Amino acid sequence: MRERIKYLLLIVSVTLIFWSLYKIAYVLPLQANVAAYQIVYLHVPSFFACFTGFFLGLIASGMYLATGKFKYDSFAAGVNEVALMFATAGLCSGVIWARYAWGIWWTWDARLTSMLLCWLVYVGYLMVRRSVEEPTHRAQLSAVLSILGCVNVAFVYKSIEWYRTQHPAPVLSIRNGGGMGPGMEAPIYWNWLALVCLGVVIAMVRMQQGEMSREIDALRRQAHSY
Amino acid sequence: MGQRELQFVTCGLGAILLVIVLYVLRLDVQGRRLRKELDRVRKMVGGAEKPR
Repeated sequence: MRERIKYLLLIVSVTLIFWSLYKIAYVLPLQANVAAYQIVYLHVPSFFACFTGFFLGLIASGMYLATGKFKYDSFAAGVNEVALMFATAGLCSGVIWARYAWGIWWTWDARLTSMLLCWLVYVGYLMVRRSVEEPTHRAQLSAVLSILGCVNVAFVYKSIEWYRTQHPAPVLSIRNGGGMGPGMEAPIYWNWLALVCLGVVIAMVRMQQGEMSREIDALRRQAHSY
Repeated sequence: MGQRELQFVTCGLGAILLVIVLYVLRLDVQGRRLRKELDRVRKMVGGAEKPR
């Protein structure tokens, strides 16, 4: 059953992404006031998918701290890693867009810097997971880091409203933006759905690997006890 | 859309897809390594259990 869900979500996700690429290339109208705006159709959904993952990671980490069950730790590790992958994808596309629109690859703008800090916090989260051997200690430390990291996520999300700096203001109408023409917002939400479906599939694979790792550790401990 | 803009749009969208593909490939390699390691450890533990 789990395998079927995985393949179904993968098919939905890949279909939506290709459909969206087709729409970006041939169907959507050109908007002259934002340069290379087509990047936005995957740049914004990458960050939305990343924030969704970090938020789920926060809930799972809280559940782990409340119950002590390792399945929540495993879930948090999976979704946080996938969310970090989406954050990396979003940052990379943002850097390329900035080079075209602003003529520079990077600026220490409050919005960009806060996202970079958030990315570094979650890289730290993965480093903690790899460096701490004892499973309970590792799960507790990473749960705390995940919760602290998510506070920063809220800051990043609001930073494009709070700071009027080089990064464009929100364009989506749900965030009181108005930078996109009619019919141009929907592909962003479809791409968000596509990336979330893909993220769920990858997180499921990552969780299976986490279970394998725990089994290997348990067998090793068993072997050492002989 | 001009040629330069087209190049940047392609690079921007390509960068996102590339990051995802690279991560999936890394995950696949890691999965294979873990399965091999699990088989090896299972055999090792199975072998260790026999004398008992």
